[in-house]
Amino acid sequence: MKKRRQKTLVLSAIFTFFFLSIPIFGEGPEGYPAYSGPPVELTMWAWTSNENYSIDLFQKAYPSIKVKWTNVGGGGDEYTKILTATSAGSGLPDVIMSEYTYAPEFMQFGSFQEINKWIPKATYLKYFPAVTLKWTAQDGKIFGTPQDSGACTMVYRKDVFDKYGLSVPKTWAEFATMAAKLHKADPKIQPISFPSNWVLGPVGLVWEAGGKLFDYADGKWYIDFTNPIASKVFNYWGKMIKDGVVTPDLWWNADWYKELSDGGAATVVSGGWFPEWLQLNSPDAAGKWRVATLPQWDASKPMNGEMGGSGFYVSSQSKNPEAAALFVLWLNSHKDSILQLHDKSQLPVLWANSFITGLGPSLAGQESPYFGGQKITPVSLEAMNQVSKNPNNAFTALPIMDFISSSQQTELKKFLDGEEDMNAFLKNWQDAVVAFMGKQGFSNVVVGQLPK
Amino acid sequence: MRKRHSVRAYLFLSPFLVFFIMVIVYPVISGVILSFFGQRGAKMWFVGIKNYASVLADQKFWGSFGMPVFLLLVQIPLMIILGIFIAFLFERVKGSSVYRLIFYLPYALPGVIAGILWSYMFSKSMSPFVPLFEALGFGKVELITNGSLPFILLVIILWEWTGYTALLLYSTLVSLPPEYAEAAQIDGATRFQIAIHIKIPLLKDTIILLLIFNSIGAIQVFNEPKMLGGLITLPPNFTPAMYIYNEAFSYGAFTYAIAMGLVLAAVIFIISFFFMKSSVKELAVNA
Repeated sequence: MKKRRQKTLVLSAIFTFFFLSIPIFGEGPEGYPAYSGPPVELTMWAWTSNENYSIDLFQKAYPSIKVKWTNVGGGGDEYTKILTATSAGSGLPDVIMSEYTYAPEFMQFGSFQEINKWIPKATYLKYFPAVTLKWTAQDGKIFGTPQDSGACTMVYRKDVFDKYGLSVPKTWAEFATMAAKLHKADPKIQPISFPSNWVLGPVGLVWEAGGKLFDYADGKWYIDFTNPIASKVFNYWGKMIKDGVVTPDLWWNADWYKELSDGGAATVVSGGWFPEWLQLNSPDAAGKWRVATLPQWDASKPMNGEMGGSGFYVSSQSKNPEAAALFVLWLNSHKDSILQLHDKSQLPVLWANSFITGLGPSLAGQESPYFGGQKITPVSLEAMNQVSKNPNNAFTALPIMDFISSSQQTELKKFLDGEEDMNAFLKNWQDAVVAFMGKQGFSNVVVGQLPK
Repeated sequence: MRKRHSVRAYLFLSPFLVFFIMVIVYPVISGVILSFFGQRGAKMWFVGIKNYASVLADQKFWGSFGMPVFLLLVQIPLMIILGIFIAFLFERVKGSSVYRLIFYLPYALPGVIAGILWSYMFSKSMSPFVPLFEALGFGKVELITNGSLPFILLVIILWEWTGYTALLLYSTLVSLPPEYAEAAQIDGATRFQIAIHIKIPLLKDTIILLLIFNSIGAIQVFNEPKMLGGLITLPPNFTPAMYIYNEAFSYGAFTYAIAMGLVLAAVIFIISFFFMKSSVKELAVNA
């Protein structure tokens, strides 16, 4: 009798054990997929500040997944480490932050792994706009989720505009007039701080005009730097540079920070994250800057592009891709996480649906003291909305962005030194990029045209 | 008995040997092996000597030697001449230890820090020279341009290394046997004549050593231009070391960068060998 009871006990224990260890598919916390694996600790590289607030909430929602976050340096510093660890075959964390424009390089380089198994397209589209699939996925493989928006916005110095009686330009033609007027009134002030060492700037300006320089489709890389839209945009800036109205600046150095603080530049065009960045890096200029959407080529058809913005991807070396996939999904889409990222991590605008239709509009009435009490979120949301209206609203960047950046600087220098005109600049830059694609082993390159 | 001696010798040498094998021998051997592979991300495939063939044909690689050649021809001779001059001053001036310390200080600063420091000195908005030039009526001068870049590097490297060079020469100078100079003085030689005809020839060994070390330094120059890169657009192949760095860490072409690194090491070896050989010849003549 005793023996039988023991047997029943053992059997029920075994049954319970098996029952608990069977993966429970279906719903997890608040409609998110459930986690079915063993307890794990994920590692993550990201340079946004204060990710820990969202991580804490995630660990409450998924108690068996812990996340260890390290900031290994921003942008280029982190990319160097990704390239090195990928080549070495070890050393990558489970989750990696990367700008959208640099992600295709890491997809090609084998640094990321696809997470479709855990985030099927339908789930992805439940939480993010379809357009973002172009940035975090390739060839039907989803590698990560989008975090912040890089939708272009313009910041301008209200004090400078007021002093010289300038109005905020709505079109690029008006911008050129404004720039010439300001340059004549005070040649010491740059009408715009135009980056000479940040290629996402000019790429974004072409994008805003409804164009692109490169793309990827059906297994081929397309490169066309001299297409009509790109030529129009580059020649516009080329003329202003040649006329001496605009002198390109090296961004991200001490001179530039000073220029942003002391009124040496009247406008800056950058990504949606820039207003927050400016606030942190140029506190002395509080109250002097304002935010606006970008001037348009055709004011009747407003559209926009992106400069920067980042996603979170699951690394190819992750031993826990399921947990990592659930983490990047939750981190960048759950409303509680989005609130933390917005409030604590200095990300003013995010790509999650929960931001676009939830948190974003609810902030419409919020005044920003740094921007002189301006309500800036509606401007940023409109900038994002304009991205969606762009017929060319997404494209894939070439997997050699560092080279595109360095070769652009080399060629731009020749242009600035008067060695070549803008059309020669575009042609030579393209030739250098095409040659480098070949050197990196990409034979599937189509030059001089873009996908239909 | 002899065997026991050598065992003991190796025992004492072992801490060095372990590190030498770990950080020099092993990386060099694995580098040589890797240089025979093509690579993209974690994928690698054997390509034989293709990387080396590409390096030899790579105009950007050989073009990157312009700056080191300039430093070899201008900076190193200038620094050694200045160093000798300062060493003689150290010898002459009473209480020169304070000056020795002051001249040595820049060398004690890491190259990266020196680079940052000097990039402020030459920056558009913070340089103390800009207001100076403005006050002198030159207007707003842009200090760092393509044309001025070699000169700026020259200033930084001289500032960093001249004190150290002078100190090395000075320490040789004070260890010279005083008899030669005394004999010459009795014969009526002036201080200048003694310096030129007696002391400087006796410094030859130290000068050759300085030539070797500084040539290696010039060919490998990296920190200073890397730091100036925030102030001016530098081509990725501004110096050989920068080109190798960019190929590896900006473009992910690690095995190609290794092949270039080994070719660079060979170039350095040949130059060092040339100096060594001529120094041995000199020593033989002196003996």
